[in-house]
Amino acid sequence: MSEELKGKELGPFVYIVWHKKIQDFIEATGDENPIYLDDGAAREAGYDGKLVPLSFANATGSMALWGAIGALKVDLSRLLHGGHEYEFIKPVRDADFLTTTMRVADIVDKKKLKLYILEGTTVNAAGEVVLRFKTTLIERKG
Amino acid sequence: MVRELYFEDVSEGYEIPPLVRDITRSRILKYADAGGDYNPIHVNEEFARKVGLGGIIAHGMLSYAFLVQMMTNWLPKPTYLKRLGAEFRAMVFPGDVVTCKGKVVRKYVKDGENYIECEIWCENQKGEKTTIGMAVATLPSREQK
Repeated sequence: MSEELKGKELGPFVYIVWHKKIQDFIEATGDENPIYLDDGAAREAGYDGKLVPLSFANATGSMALWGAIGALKVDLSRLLHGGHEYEFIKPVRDADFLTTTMRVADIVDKKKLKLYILEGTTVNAAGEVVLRFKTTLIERKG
Repeated sequence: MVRELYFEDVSEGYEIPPLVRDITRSRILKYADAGGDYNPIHVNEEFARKVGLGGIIAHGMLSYAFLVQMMTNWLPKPTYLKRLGAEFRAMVFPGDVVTCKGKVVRKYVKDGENYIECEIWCENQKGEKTTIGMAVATLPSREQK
């Protein structure tokens, strides 16, 4: 089973950035950087308008991860997130249409745990890569 | 006002200003709303107990978001942050207070860009490291000013 999944491509998963979700994200994290809130502050810093918080990548990736979890048939009650890495390549903007694809890079079977290592890439509507990521899902056994 | 910070201003061992965040149920629920991650271990107390977690736990990615925030609060521009990786070592519960900390461990120049590599982590109120990670960022040089 594990061997069959290794190398498997997952997705594409689409995500549309919505300002309401950005607001929720800022409220949840308390990340009130003026560059995320105010066009003027963002312009002063050399951007053409306010940015989406960098960590909002979490939200765009979360939907794709849920898709992956479904495809891998991981038991939800035994699932934990082991780790995550993002490479921030290009800023995500409000109303961006993002497409994420993933592949199962590795599956590690341990005595009490099974690790799924997934690698993914997110592109915007212009086809530009905005994020690359690697994530580790842990399935507790027994 | 854009804060100034140059490559020359930091050296190995430089400590990044910490970020402190209290973990509350409402914060966890708001984070679930933001990211669409309603895994019952984060939002359903009874379910979380039944699967042996003792109660709901915060999303690992909430700690990740705090680490990104610590970095982007410190860096003059958020887009100077190029990469951030974190490993979730211990669970974070409502009532915990998470402090994100970090220090510069390496400086180098590659392809004409000035890079800094930082060791970063989150501690709970007991001083236990709940998340550990690394971040890579670029900084402008005073000469390029």
